[in-house]
Amino acid sequence: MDFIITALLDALSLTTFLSVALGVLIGIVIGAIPGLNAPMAIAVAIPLTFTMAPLAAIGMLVGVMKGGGFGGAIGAILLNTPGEPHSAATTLDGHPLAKSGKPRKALQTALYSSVVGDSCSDLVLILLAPTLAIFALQAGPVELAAILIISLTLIASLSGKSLAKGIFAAAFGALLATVGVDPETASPRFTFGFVELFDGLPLAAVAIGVLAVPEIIMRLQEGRHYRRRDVEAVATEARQDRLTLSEFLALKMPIFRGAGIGTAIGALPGLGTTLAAFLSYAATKRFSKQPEKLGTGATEGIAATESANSAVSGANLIPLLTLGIPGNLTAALLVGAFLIHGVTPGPLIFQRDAQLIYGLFAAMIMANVMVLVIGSFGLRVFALIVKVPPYVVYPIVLLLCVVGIYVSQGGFFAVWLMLGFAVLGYLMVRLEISVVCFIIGLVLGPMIELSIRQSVVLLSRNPAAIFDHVFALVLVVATPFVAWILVRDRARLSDG
Amino acid sequence: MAGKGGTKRTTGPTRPVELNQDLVLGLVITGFGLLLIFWIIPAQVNDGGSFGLPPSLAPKSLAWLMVAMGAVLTVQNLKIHGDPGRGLTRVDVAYLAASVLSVAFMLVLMQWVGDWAGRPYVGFLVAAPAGLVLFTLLHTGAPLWVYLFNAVAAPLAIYIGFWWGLRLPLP
Amino acid sequence: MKILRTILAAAAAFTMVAPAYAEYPDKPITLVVGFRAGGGSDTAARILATEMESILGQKLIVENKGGAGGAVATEYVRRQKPDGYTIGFAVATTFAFTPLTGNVAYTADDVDFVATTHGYRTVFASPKDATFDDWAGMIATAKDRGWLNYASIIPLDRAIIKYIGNKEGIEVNIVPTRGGAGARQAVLGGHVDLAFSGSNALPMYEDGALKVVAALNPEGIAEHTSIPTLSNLGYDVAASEAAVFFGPKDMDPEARAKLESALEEAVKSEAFRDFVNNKFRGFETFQDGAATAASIAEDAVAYQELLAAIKE
Repeated sequence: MDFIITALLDALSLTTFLSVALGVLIGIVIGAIPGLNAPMAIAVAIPLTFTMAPLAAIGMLVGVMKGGGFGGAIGAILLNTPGEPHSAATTLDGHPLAKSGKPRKALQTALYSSVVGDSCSDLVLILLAPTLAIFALQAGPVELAAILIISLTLIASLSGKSLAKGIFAAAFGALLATVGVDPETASPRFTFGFVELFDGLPLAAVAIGVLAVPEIIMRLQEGRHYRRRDVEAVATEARQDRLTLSEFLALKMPIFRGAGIGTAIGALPGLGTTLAAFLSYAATKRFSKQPEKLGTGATEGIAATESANSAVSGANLIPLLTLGIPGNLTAALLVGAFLIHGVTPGPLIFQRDAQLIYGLFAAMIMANVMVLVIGSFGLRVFALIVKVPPYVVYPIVLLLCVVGIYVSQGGFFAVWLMLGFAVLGYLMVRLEISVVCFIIGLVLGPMIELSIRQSVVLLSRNPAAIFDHVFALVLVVATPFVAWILVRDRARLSDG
Repeated sequence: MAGKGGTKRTTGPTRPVELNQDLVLGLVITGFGLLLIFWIIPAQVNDGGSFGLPPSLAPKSLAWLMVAMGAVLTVQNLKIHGDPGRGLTRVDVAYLAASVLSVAFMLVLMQWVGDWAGRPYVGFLVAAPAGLVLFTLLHTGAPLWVYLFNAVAAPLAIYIGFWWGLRLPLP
Repeated sequence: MKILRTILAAAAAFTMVAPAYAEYPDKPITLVVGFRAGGGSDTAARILATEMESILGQKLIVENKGGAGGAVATEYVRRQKPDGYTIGFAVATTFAFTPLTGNVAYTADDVDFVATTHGYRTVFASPKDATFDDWAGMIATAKDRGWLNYASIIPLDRAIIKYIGNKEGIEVNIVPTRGGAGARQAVLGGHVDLAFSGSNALPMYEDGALKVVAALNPEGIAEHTSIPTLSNLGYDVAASEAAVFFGPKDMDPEARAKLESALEEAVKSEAFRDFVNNKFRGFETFQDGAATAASIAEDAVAYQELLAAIKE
């Protein structure tokens, strides 16, 4: 127990405190800039930590990760310009609420749910990491394929008015995700001779192109009609623009459900944040008392996605620390940074680097508190963006998207792609094709394809081995029933 | 489609193009799906050397799914007449073209000046103000000081923040 | 009049002589890193860049152009002016193996090499509860069952395992994965019998989380002599991987020489050596530009033979 106390004292030193605070600040600011996102914030912060003491450095990066998660929600909520695919789930309710004159309430919901979700998954990490990691390893390609298929069925309930258009959008997204060198044969698919496409379409460029840029173009298009209406709305609603304690307590179900989903998905390597966010949103919609309100600015929707998003980041460290397997891009960058500072992931990490690891845990809790404190001050400032005239905000945001993609994706190629996808996104919005379904297809499509193909290879020699995967079989059998329930729900909703 | 019309109606209320857009959309999706199946996929995906499921399986199944959805959309809209949604208007198309061309102009200028100068941020400092003036023009009705503010203060802030603060190079 | 003429003459003399005095480097150098920001390769490049800055007395701007195992950066750098102000960072297989796949337009002859700064080590790993403990046991198990489930990461490791499979008469069931994490997950979870891995498998091996049955790099694993290399096991194949600095073809020779000697000094720095040996777990090696070109050409011939052998 001695080393735990030493570790806590270490973590409470002024240097660690300051570096965690600095990390959270960097994370929130970079995450909030349209065009940049949490992985970019980490990549920027890593060189800054080269000369720092290990614990301070790791604490700072964890702060960046957590701050970046909340920062991403700011751009998504206030400007409808998500920087990462999973933030698209936050925009669904966050932006309508901000637009209706309650930007602060929307940001507060996001902040508090995010901190609660994060703390829950950190607790799981601290108490159960080694056990959970071994359990999570049991999930091989067959299990992942089954989980992904049933999740996609659940998420299908988010496909706007026309089911046909929703399915088309998801299929088109998944098709575009096949661009790049095929992992099995190593021959390129749909690369049209561009080396830049060998690793696939740059996800950030596509996400910002499809989600953020069309929004900017439409706001610019509204031109002078926009401002007056907006100011009137802000003036009339301003007095109710905060989240009361009772309103927050009423959100406990979506928050804890999101935390649960996020923790489970974060602990399973290879699934990722986008799945958690949309799954939590779909589940909240299914169990909500007023499902028709979701998508129009319900705090439930924001709470569900933000708690799930943040829960993933804590739980992600489970496979990261004990197995060295990153669960998403942010975690992948953290592994590299941990190595630089002498933290070598492995099952014995809790014995080998005990002092550092318990220091890291203390720093994580500290970072959660700091996100809450800095975030609470910050959201007052950020909420003011809504009052800045649109002819100042949107031209600058458009430039930031260009600049952000250039620096994070390494060149003009990705910026041109972003512009092309902006055209696609604009047409999709105007023709009422669900952009969200497109993004879900884009992110989940390749995971499903790869895990199915891996399963086929693994089972090809011995097909009878499928009966060893009871869990996967149960999920596959359950899928049609889930689909049936959702179709019934849909029919009932459109009748009522 | 781009560039057609638009000039006459920029100030009027947005009017939907007179035909059932979802019908056309259904046909376009079906056509695109078939194009993928019979031309693009065979040309761009090589199945040689595969041992499990062929690389073209996923793209082909997705393309067939798209054809099916396109067909469903077409059939649905043969029965129902009229356009329930806002739809895509000519003003939209013109506006989209103008926005994309403005960004494209800024990118080309930035790339060209950046190549010529060979030092970080020279291209940016030339092209970004030009781009911002164009973007602000797209939002009609901005007062004059805004052009000055956007064109000078914003690029300068990005330059200081990104280059001095974060050491991220731009052309 | 006289004054004016003097000024003109001075100006003319200055403009004519100036280039000769302007010694390379007189403006910032751009280092194009062929990997995304934040990874192990990028970190090594950034540490070296910092060292080079103090040696050359000029700023180095690190720009990441990740993708296709260094090929994206190579395509970019080879189209830049060969004045020494744009250089690239990639790995040996970017030039020795990738062009052989027929997917890229460049070859090793389209660039000038500056230096090799450090080596990578790669291994074959097996799950900790595998029924075998060493290479021979693995081959026996695979022969007994008839096939071997293998998690592959890159085309080169796939070619090598196919070659071994042909030689041993085992059917290799190749499970494709995306990036190192997927293969790691498959081997730690016991979903495959064997997986390709970078040196990050070594700490796992030391913790007893997995078994390492062979090293693919010809140098072997110095701190674990019990791990055999492929040539120890009687196969004449290997995967040599090293970090390579390069520039556009026909680079200014003076600039190239300066960069080469700066790198030679930079690799001796304490920060870099500590990173390579203890964090990255690669190995120290320095080769000048000419030696780098020669060893890449040599590797390319070996890979060509390997690919021809598995085609038959």
